[in-house]
Amino acid sequence: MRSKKPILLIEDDKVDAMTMKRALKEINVTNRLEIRNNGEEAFEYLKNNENEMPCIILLDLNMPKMNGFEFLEKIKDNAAVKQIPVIVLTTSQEEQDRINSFDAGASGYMIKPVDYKQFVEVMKAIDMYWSLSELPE
Amino acid sequence: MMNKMIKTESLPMDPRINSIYTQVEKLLLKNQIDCNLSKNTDPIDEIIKGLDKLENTPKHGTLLSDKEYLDNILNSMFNTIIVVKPDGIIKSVNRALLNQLGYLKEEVINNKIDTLINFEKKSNDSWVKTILTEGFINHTAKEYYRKDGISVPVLFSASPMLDNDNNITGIVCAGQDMTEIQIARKTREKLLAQLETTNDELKDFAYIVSHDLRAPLRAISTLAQWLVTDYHDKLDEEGQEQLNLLINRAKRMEALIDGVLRYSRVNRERQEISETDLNEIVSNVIDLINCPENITIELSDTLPIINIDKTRISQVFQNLIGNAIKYMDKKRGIIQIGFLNEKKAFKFFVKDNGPGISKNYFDKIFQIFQTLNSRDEIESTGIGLSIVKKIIELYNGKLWIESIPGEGSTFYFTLPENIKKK
Repeated sequence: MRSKKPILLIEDDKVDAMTMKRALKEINVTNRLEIRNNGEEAFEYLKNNENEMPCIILLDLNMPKMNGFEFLEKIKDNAAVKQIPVIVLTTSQEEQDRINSFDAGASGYMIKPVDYKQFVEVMKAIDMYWSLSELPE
Repeated sequence: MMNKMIKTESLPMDPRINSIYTQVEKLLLKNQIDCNLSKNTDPIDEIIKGLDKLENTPKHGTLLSDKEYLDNILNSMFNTIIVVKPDGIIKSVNRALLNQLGYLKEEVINNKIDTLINFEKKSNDSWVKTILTEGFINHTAKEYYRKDGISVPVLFSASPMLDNDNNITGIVCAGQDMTEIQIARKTREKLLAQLETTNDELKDFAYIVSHDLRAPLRAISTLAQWLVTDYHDKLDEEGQEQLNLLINRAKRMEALIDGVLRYSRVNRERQEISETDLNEIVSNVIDLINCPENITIELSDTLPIINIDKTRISQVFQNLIGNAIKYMDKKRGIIQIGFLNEKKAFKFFVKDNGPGISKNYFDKIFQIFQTLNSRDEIESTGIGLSIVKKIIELYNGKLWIESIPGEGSTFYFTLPENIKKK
């Protein structure tokens, strides 16, 4: 990543979170990884001024309490947070989920592959894009 | 003469109405009144016409008792009858009407018909006019008011009674109680709505199940891959093999879940019907399929342009051509795609010189999850052909196979001709 700010992963599945950690390490992304289990916890993190704002948010859709869409809706009106790119990372291949995600302000939509090696490739692509793309400071 | 009358072909009608009709005919005959009743039109109209004639014919000695006889007939009718004067004042009613609306005869006679029938703001004049201009009101939905204020749905017909100079002397209104039919219709609508909901739930169910199954599967697959990578030196050959089998089975399960998702999508997703050049579709499919060099794919006819969902018809060709490639057992494989313009339908075929299929399995191959080879021999979910079948049936087409074991198979499917470009 271009920025050294942390990456916020919003994910309730422990193995998926482990996979992310491992994949980021494997492709030498050194940004700190903050993991929150659902939209509510993530929003609490973002609200707290003592926390360093992430450079990117990786968002699962299907989560308890506050799911991915609800989280996107929640941050829509938050001026500081809405500039942070949110990449949806999901199992869903549904067209409707893609449409809803982009409508709600997502910057990307990636499908979590079952195969770990493919997952690493997906993370490589995300890293490459957000290393090239300029973001507001 | 009488015999001749009775012998006439029976009407395709309520036997009671039929019997009244016959009675009226007899009466007309008895009174030597010339009135041609036609069996081909509404018998109630004809009965009314007959009664009208009887009433307006100069008195006969026998007619009075005949009137009583007719009253009996009217009173034994199941349908309600109201006779009104041209000004809308009720002249007579039958017993069915009194029973249905809960009135006594003296409570309705000489009252305005509006007290019994809802004419939706229109004045008496206007429906009387309708009858005069149109000649009748036939089978219109109306509401009668019961004495207790409750309205009763009725199928309403009315026609005028005319005297010899064609002056309107009254109007006969016949009504059929629709309460039961309406209850039945409402029940039917309710059941249909329930069925639709269940159907939607079922569609969603396939999706949700497949969707939620993927998450744990991903964990299993990932963890197994890490075990192989991280504990490589701690695993003996057997342990490695077992983990590889585990990874392989996880992949198979993923393919199955994807298949179920694709299968459920055939009905679930909205169709995007557009003008589609099938030559283009097939050539795109061939480009996308990884076809080995020993197999030739030939397009033997120019395919038509039809109105269809591009994704779905692509899936059809993709599955059929893909299968022909997957199961090819000949050194020189030939796959032919062709088209025949049949009566009222387009007939397509995908023909191969592969292993062929025994007739015993012609039905089985189109069922979901059915495969003819062990999955360890040829990796297959057994969903492809069931998707093809579902898509073809969505368009009211047919799908079948002709095959000679050892020589090859031909898959045929039809699409109705009305699908073609207009």
